[in-house]
Amino acid sequence: MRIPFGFLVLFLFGIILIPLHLMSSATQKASELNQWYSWLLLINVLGSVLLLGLVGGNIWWLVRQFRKRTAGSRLALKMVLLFVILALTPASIVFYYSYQFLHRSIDSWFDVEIDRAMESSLELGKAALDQRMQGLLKRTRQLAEDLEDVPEKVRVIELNRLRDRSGASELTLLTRRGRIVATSSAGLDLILPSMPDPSLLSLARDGAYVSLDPSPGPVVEEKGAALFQVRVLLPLELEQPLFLQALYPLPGRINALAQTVENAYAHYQQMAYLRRSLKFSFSLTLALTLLLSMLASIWAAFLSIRRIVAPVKMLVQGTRAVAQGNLDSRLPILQKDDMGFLVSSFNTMTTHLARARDEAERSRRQVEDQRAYLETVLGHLSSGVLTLSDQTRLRTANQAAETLLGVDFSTIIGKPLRSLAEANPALAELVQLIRSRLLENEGVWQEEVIIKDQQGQKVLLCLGSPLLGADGHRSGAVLVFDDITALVQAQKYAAWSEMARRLAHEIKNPLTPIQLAAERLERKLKPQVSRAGGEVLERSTHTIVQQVEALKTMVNAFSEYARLPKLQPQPVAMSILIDEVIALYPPDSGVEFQLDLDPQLPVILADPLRLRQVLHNLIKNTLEACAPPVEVKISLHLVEQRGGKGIEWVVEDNGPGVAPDQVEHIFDPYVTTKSRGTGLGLAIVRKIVEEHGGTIHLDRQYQQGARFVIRLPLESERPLQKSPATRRVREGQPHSHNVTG
Amino acid sequence: MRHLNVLIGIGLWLCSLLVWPQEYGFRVRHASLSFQQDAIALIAGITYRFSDTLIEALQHGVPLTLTVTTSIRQPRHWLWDDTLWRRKLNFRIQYYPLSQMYRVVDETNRFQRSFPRLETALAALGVLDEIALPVDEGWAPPRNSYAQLRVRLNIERLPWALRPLAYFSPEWRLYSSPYRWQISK
Repeated sequence: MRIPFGFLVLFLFGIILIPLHLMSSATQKASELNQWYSWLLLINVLGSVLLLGLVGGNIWWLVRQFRKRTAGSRLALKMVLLFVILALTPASIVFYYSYQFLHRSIDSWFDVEIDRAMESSLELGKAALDQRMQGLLKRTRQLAEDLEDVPEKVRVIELNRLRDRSGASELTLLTRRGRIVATSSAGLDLILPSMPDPSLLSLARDGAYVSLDPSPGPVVEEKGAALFQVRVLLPLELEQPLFLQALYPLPGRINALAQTVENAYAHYQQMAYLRRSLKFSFSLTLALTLLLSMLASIWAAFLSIRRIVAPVKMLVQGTRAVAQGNLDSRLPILQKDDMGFLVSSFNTMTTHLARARDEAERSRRQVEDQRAYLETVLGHLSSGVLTLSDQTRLRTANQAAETLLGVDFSTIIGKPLRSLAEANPALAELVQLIRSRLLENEGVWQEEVIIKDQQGQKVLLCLGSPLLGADGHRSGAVLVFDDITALVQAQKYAAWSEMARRLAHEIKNPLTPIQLAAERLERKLKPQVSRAGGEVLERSTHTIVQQVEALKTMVNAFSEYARLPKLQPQPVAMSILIDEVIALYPPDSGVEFQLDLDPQLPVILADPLRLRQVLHNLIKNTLEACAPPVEVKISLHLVEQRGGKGIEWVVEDNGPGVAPDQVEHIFDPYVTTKSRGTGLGLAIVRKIVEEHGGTIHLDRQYQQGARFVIRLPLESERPLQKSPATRRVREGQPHSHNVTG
Repeated sequence: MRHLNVLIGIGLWLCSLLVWPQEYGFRVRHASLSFQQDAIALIAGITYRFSDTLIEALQHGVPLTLTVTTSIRQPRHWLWDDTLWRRKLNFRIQYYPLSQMYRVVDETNRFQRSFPRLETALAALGVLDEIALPVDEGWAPPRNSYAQLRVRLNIERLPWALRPLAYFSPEWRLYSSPYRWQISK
């Protein structure tokens, strides 16, 4: 069962009030607690020390909390200061005026007139008693004179008679040393007479001694009992020096009055003496009461403030936790009041926030998954994908875009679109196209773009589409690039192959009858014509046959181009292959070779016959284009290229090179700058290289002649393909499907 | 440094107490116990020298109570000595202004005497002659026990207002050193 806080505080104050009340009661004169005053004082002092320690501990706790900037410490400090000021101010005022009132009250007990009255009453009493004592002294002297005439033997009897006559309660004869000689007493209860103190005997030795003497013997505390008696001591000069002691009782009325005067005077004197002590002790009691009450109040205030601040502290900590993203903490509801309601509301709020956060997290994860999915898909696409912001700034680009456009996007992401052209000047036309399309604010658009760089030209199919936000507004654009160079080339090959096949079919078939007809004409007509006519006929027939042969050769070449045999791949050491080929060109052939072959080159998987044809065609092309002597430099190196390692095979000559207007078409069939040849040599070279998965281009920057750069992938980096054209076509189909779909 | 100064101050104060003995205080001159059948008789001589403050209080009617404590104790090795028997005797002295007498009351035996001078009253207080102290019949102290007598001004018998001050004033806190002697039966 939980005890209410208010009850605990009341109980505490009750515990504190009990010793305070007892101590206050102990200051009453008639109180039985009077004898316990010191203990009660000590208990209250210890209580004060205990409370002081508790308050000090709380103050230390508060100061530490404040220095640490703990949540709620400022509020607690303010409340404590406010409470202490509010409590101390009236308490101090009350204490000050109580202190003043106390001191003035005590001072008012003592007055000069009262002093004088008390002194006078005492003096009056003394005077009255002195007079009576003088009379008794005189009476005793008379007794002494009477006794001096009495013989020693009857002195005891005479002593009784004199006592009866004088009204004394006791007559005693004493030696000078205080020994009893004879005594006579009125009472029967006392066996021994009341003996004077030896000091009194010495006082009486020189004359007489008379005093108002409190009755010696057992203490009698009955009210009205005779306290005083008159003691007279006289020296006697008998046969030996003696003392006569006479004790006279005072009349009851006088005795009572004397006691009253003496008690009142003694009490007043005592109070006057205790005046300063009373002030001090009352002030101490008052101060202790105030101190104890204040300390108890401050402690109770600390307990209350800590209870009040606890939910605030929790709320601040909870708010900080929420600010740091911890929405799972729930605060305990300690009180069923406004603070409890506030804490409950806070818990509800954090619950809602946590729910919203979880939903947001789920959404974020979904978006993240989708983004990762898209990144993966885009990263593995062979199509280049580029996104632009609303301000035509580059936002994202996939790996294929970097490969296709030949740009490192990591340095230009976030920059304007024109930076694409700055990174790769060959893309200027493409950038211009995109800008114009974006400015036209078209929807989905598609265009083929030819990019010309050092490695030749590349045909890109560019598809543009606006990016729409969730609200339907345009937030940028997405561009998809597909390299359709191979597709275009394949289409071109297919067309050329078809044309070659038809040429072979349509041209080659009539050539034989033409040739046979021409030979028959010569054979039939030669005998019938003149000699001169025969010569003409022979020359003409020969020309026809020769040209038909030439046409046959050409048609055979076309046929061969159209029907190149399938690759027969096998491990090939390129250095050996090159050595074998150039061995066929002796020094008198007019060709001088310079070789730069990397000895560390690995073996590649290729068709050696076709690669020999490549080198033969290139050398033949050089020989046909140049007048001997010709210098052909062949180099072979391992290179790192996009997509993996490869072999760079360079064949360069010192010939006239290629005219700029022919550069784009030198690998096309039936294109030749030479007076001889079919125009198929370089076309076949390109076809063979591409069938091996490689590339070939003419180095445009090489000015000393023609420089062909062939790059062949290593076998480990590529799967063998039956036909590059076929491959390209097959890859191109899904691309175009992607673009259009 | 501050603590060192405090220690030096306390040391000097203690030295001053030794070099200049106070003019007031109590001293047990002699004491003895004689064992009887059912009581122990105490004989002792005590010198009482009251401080001026005490004399002033006395002459203003404040009763003063002197407590004489007699005990028989047995030494112990590792603990404080064991008290086997203890009795307290209270003597009250009070001044009466009308008769100008000092009354001395033996509160134990409820017997009173009066003296015209304080010196004679204190001298009379200092003589404890054959004061019978009750003891269980047949009880005898062990062989190695010893007796102890000490006397002090009983502050708790002072008026309540005086007690807080008296506890902190050396002029009020008067007591004798314990007087010990070996018991011989």
